[in-house]
Amino acid sequence: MNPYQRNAATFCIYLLTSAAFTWPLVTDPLGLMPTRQFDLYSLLWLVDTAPELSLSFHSDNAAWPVGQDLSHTDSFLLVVIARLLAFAFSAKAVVAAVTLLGPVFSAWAAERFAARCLAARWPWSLIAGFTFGFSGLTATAMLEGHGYAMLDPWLPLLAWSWLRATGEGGDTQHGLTAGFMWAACLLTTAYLGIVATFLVLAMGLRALFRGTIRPKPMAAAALVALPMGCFYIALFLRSGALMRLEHGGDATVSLAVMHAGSARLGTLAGWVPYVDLGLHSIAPTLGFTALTLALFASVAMGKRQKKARSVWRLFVWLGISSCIISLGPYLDLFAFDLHLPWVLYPLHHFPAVTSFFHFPVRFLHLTTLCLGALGALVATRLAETQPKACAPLLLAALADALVGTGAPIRSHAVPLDVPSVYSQAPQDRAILELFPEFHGMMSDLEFYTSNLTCFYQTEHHRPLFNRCLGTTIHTDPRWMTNRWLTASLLSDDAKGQIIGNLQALGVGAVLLHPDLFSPQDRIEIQLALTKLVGTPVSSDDGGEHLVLYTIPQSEQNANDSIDLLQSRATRSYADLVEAWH
Amino acid sequence: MPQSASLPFSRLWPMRFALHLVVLMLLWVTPMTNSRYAHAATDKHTVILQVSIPNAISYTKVKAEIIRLGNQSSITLVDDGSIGNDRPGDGIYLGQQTGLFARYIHLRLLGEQEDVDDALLFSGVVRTDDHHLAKLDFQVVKSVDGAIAFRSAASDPGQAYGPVRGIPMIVAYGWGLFMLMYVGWLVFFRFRQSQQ
Repeated sequence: MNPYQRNAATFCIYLLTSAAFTWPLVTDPLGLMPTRQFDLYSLLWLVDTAPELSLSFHSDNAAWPVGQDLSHTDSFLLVVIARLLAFAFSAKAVVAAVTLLGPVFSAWAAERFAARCLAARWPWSLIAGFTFGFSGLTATAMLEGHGYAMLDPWLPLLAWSWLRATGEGGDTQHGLTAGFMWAACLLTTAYLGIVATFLVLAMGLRALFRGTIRPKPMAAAALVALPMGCFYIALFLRSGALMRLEHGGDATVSLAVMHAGSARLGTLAGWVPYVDLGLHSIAPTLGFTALTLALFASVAMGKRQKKARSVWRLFVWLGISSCIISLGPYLDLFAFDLHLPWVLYPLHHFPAVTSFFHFPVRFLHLTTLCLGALGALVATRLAETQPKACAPLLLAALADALVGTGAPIRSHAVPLDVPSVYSQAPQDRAILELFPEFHGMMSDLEFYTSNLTCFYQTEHHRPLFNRCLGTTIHTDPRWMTNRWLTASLLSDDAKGQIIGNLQALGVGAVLLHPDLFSPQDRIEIQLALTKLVGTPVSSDDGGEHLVLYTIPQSEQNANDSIDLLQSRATRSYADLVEAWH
Repeated sequence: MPQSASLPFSRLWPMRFALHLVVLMLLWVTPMTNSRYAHAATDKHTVILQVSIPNAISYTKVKAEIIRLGNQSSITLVDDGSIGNDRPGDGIYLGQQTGLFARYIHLRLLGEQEDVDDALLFSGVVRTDDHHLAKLDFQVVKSVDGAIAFRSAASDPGQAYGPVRGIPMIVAYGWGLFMLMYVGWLVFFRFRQSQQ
């Protein structure tokens, strides 16, 4: 086959694998999404909001009336993609396309990386793509709803271009490409940026010792990477993210959060159903095909390929070290069994770092890239003498991708319908979502409901009190206002001020989620609201029973523009928070 | 210049095939399969409840009170093998309810005993947002306040009894061992050939 044919065949194979991996997405890309946790909904919200964002990265549609700062968003690259595609594609279409095609491009880039850098031959180079593009980490990203993390061709392309740039024949073009790829990694997610930096430093050190570093490619890479890095850091600092340290800089808590986002030894091999119930679907299986091939690398390589062997060693060390880091602050088998202090444990001396570094598991992006490339290389060497006997290796790598990760079995097909009752809420007024607080084992339900109601906004477009991005929902305007309103409705003597306060806050409708409350609270709240504002409207479609109470508008608010209403509501909200505290 | 760069377009059939495949997938496969997987509001959505009760705890009846899309209903869970792949008398009680799609339900699990008030085993909200089938698994254990049920992970693809929960992991380790032997065998033959 010529290169065009090989590339076309590679694309087809990975596309079909992706269709199975993300099943049943391909059956209804605009109506169903495979997921398990709750971040998918905030991702859809972000993609829907992205086309309206200015460089101030501020949205007035969330966290009403103060608005939400999005300069600490998960993926700037997704924001850019959403803006570019907004002319013709809905948020659902963009997220579906990224979920379906992301692994294809990631796998393709890894396959090219193995072929170009380690001289792996087709079809054995396909093993690199299966291992990297359809890894357990990709399955975790899909089940958690982090679709942007599935689109990662940047890391293999960075490894490829940076290896060239730091090698003997490195030129400006390689440096520029490496700079752009590093920037793409950083903009995909901050964690991928950290992993990419780790890769760049490791390869740079190797080149330094070998004396192959040349100024031109270095300068070209820096020309792109430095401004982008500075821009990112400036955005991060401007978001006030470091303030989080003052409020929650408890090193023990931060370490526990980091541990939750770390790989476990057992889940590197496989998954159990508990992973999806209690470990946020984090089962970053490595794939036994690539792993066992890589284990035999030193024997299979032979003595001929001295140059390749040198590069091979680099990827062995990169793979091992990134895997060690991914295990986080404690070494555990599944949950909290061994609990031995591990390499990131000393970070508890630096609470500023631990409070932001929550997902060491994402270092496995690098591990799977290295394992896949090594596996492809070893398979190529083995196939030189016994090609037929090696053929099952390809099927085994495919089985690792589909069965080993469990992606199509574990995912839930979640409909993306929005309840019809929202259409009856007044235009240009905010909606206050009313649902209870969840504690302990059920605390995830609060994130789920908050994110879900943010997703509903992609259809109804009314401002929401929810903070739609991030994990600080317990300080957002919805939580504060919800707390005040629920307590007022359940008390006997605080009902007098409710309507006035809601009007001052710019609330057009209160959207009650009755099935989430306990039966007793539900009846009391419904009775109190009906007494205050009259008979509500309700709907049972879209998977939820919702009851909408329209708040009558005050004379003062009736003719106000949305901007004026927001500025008045901001003052009222500040008063409410102060009074409530 | 690479040899392939001078190839006429007619010889690039795999590329054209790939393009056709993408277009087919996006334009044709979707509506064709939609009829089977469509999630219209009229579709039936089944929720299966599965409660494992140890031998030391016995109830005359296990009941589930469900609030689903605002409607309250009650079902009796059974252990007679009539639902799914249940084994009769294995201490795993099953019940199912079918209705319109619901993202979550409010659930109360109750155990009835003779001459004693119903024991409340579980009360809370549980997600049921898998469009095809939502399977909710609970384990009943004894505590200082009596028996309680806690939410546990239902094993996939849907077997009920204990050891099956670990099957994906057992299979993974078995697969790893097999791959180790297979690749080891390939390496051994390569090594032997290179020696010859």
